[in-house]
Amino acid sequence: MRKNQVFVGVLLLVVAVMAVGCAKPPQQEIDGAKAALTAAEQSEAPKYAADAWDKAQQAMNAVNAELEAQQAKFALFRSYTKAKQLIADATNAANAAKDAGIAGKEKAKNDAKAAIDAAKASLDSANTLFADIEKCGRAKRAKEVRKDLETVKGNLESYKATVADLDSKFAKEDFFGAKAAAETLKGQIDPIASDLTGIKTKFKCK
Amino acid sequence: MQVSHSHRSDQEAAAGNRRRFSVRSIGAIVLVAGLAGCARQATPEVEGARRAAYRAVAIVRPAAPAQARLIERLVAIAEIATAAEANAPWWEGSVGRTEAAWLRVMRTANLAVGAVRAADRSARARYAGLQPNARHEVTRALAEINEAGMQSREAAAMQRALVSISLAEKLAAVGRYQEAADDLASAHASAAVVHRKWIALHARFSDPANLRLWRAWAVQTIEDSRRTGGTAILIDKLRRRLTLYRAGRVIASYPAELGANGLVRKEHSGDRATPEGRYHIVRAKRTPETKYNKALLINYPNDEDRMRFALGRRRGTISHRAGIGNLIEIHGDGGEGQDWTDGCVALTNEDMNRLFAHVGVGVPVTIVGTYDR
Repeated sequence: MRKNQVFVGVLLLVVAVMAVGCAKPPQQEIDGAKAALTAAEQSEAPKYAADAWDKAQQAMNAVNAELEAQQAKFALFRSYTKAKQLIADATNAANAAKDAGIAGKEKAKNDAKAAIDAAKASLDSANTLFADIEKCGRAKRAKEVRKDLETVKGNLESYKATVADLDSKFAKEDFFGAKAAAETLKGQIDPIASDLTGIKTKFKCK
Repeated sequence: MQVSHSHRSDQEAAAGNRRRFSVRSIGAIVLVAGLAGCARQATPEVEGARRAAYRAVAIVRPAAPAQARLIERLVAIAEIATAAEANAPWWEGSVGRTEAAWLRVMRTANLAVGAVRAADRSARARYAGLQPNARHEVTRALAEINEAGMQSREAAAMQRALVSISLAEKLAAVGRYQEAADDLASAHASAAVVHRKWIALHARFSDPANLRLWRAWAVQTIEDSRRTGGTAILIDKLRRRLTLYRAGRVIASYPAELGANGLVRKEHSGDRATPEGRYHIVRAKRTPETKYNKALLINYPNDEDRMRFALGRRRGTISHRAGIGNLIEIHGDGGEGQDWTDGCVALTNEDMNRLFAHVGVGVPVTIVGTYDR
């Protein structure tokens, strides 16, 4: 009888040791996945790569669900093999979201920059044409040009201020707004530059 | 006898054991059946809520990213609750926890979507309210900008208005009504710069003192023509019309163009304004004396112009470097449909030829702001 009691006691101890000693959640991998998700968020993936971000979120939710499922089991029956795979998937998805976020932001930035540069180039070209016409006596003396030049001068002044607004929008990372404004501005400047080119050609200005 | 008593006793004990076993078995069956009957409810179906939550995130994210992030976090919590519920042993199961978590998600999502949609509706309504008025104001400013006297400042404002309204319409087309409404407001404000200048330019044409003076000049010119039987020229700047009188009667009337700042009274050289006053022709020119086909030089500046110029200099309203100006003519080469000269009055060459046939040196030329009001 006493022998049996000792045996049962030892068995319980072994089971308790096994329960405590095995199948712990892969904390390091979990932390890695969480850090990857935070990095994706910081790279503005929700704004610039919404689909990739959603996938990363869902992958992380699956990890949490699996961890919870294992947690609910009796310690001896827990297994984190599937959880490890899900964590790896979530980490990959988060990294992909981060990369997509960076790439998306870069693209928006480049598009805005290209549009602003194009608007600035148009304005520079119009300013050069205007300066050429101002130096051109033949054109300046022509009555049909005189009034137009006054107006064009005012227009070019206003565009200079608008270009400054574009830079301000760009600096605030409002890339969509900056791009739309730059395209609109270019749409206004180009016809004026075209008119000035016509005047320059007509009066054979250098 | 003893044996038989013992045998009966064994039989009774065995019967007792069987009864106890039966009772225990029945008890165990009842317990298992009871436990089976007490099995927890099925895990709630959350797929609909999950899809709705992601839809809400997609709607909310562009306008309120922090709210979208909150919904995402609540979804994560709800997913954990759902997984816990699905895997919990029966004695720990509580469907209510999962339901509560998803209800919290849906409540937050509904509130956030509602707020975003309300803000969107409000911005859209603001845009729709502002758009026709802003468009009208910009169109009005476009009509006003060619008025004589508009300067580069107004031209710049006009361009800002055009850029802003174009941008507003572009933003509205992609649903960014809040920014679109702001740009409309900016277009409206820029158009107002043009309006203010236009109103200021026209204010002097409603001033009773000016109207009295101009009417007196006009009446005097016509009366002199009637009295002497001679010809006289009367120019109405606001109406842009030159009228030729003989013996006090109108014999011809021509559309005229003024200086680029023609609605303003001339004060000094280079202001491109057209003078106002009573003058006379001092010289009649033909090509090649003039590059404008034909020209009638008037005696600007007259004594009154000189007095005003001197007064302006004393008061500091006219720069000391500025001259009073001269060479104000009625000349040809007009017909541009806008005010463009440096202060002269331009007619078409045909009208100038007709006028030239009727007038000569000494003919009075009266230029007024307007006299027909």
